[in-house]
Amino acid sequence: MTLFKPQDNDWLLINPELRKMRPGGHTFMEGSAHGISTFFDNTATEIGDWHRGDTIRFFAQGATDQGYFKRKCIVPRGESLTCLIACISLQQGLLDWEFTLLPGSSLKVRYIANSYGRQIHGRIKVRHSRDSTSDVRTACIATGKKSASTVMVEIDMPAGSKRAKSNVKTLNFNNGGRVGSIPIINVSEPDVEAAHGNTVYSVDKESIFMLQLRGIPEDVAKKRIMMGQLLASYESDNIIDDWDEFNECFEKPSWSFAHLSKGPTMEFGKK
Amino acid sequence: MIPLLDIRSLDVMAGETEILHNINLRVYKGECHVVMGRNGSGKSTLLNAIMGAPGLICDGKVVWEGIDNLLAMPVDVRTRQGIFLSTQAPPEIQGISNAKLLQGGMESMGKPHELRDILKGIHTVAEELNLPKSWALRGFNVGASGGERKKNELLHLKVLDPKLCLLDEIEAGLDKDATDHLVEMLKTIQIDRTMLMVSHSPKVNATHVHVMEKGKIVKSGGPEIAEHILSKGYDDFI
Repeated sequence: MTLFKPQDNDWLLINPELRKMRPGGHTFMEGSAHGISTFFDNTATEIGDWHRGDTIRFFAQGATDQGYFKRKCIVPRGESLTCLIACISLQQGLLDWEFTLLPGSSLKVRYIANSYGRQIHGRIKVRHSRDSTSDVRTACIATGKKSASTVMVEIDMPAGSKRAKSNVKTLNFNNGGRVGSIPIINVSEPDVEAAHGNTVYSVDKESIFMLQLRGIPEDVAKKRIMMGQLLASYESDNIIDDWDEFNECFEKPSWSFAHLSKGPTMEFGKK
Repeated sequence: MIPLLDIRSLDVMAGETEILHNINLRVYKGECHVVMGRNGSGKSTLLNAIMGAPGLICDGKVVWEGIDNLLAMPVDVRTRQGIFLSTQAPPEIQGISNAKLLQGGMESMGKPHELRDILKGIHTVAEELNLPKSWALRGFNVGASGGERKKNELLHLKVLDPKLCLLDEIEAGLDKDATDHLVEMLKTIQIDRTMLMVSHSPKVNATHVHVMEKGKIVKSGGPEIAEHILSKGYDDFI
């Protein structure tokens, strides 16, 4: 795999294959070479142009077979990037994101995967350089028996990445399945800061009962409590509006992301 | 006349332990029933059982408006019938604001409201209850004191406007001024609603008072029972 070089107007660089996607077609990206039979037999819209200051919103919903997403992003010098990743109900989903931070750049990643009886595994890799900062927060939710949601967060702080800072926070909600978060922090430079925290939540009966007492059905109550915890965790971010949209997505029995039209958005799952 | 709530031979177990035994109680529209009793006599369990709290196994019938057996319904459906339960110790739920919770509740009851209308309603009631304006957007009971939680229950009650209010020691934990204010509010609420409340010192205009002991109703009567208990205790009824 090769990383793509920054160009003048593109602050985020995406595999050019993405630009070939057309509505109604199969989408083959880097992952298709990994032996997975079908890669999202769904509609996909062409990815738009990326502009400085945009937030990446990435939503994946699985309706058919396995899906493998691989993305590589480079954050140019002195720039900042926010990336929201939501993945719901893939049959067997693999999400693989790699970020390369050039000197002085910063990155925020917010990742939610709710497996709903299926399996989603994520990998987020961040490669630091000097004076770069990253703040990665993930939430793995496993809803229903036989479901699994795991994520591996790899932070690379190679030699020369002086004064780089990294903060990883993982949340796990077990709602009847298997959840797990694996942080891997490789530090080869003495002058860096790296922190990791992990929290495990359970959806307690008392809170569900409370919401039901306000007329909210049990399944919706569970989702609201989980998303509520996420909102509480991310409250300090200025991306709350986005999370409200995420919240809506989690409450719908069948998800459609068509309404998420702000900024460049990839849409999957539309028939 | 059909009772609004008709509890027939209700037995309630929690695990292997029987908490309530053969409870019979009829509540008609417009009435205000107060349940009194010593600690651990089963008062709160009675209200929780009516609403289907987790961990309780119920046997018997709780007939709503002469037709439906509440015990066969999920909790949220019971709420949607028009029953509101204010629990003794409402929990704290992070990330779900009062406004969003009430909006969700109204929506599920078939009364969808715009968030701004809900906010307006909350602001009005919050002002009456001396709660800050920011209350509407604050997480449900997050960082709230015991008294504030009780006020919050009252706020939700007023916004949701139920037919039957089940109140579990709503006045407990409030300071004197807040209690006086709450009593005034309860009297207003009482005018067009039906109530079944648990209280150690009822200050509302009760039409019926029941005394519970060891999971049974041992005495039922008018407000004179409450006066007797407040002056002489429970010994004469047990």
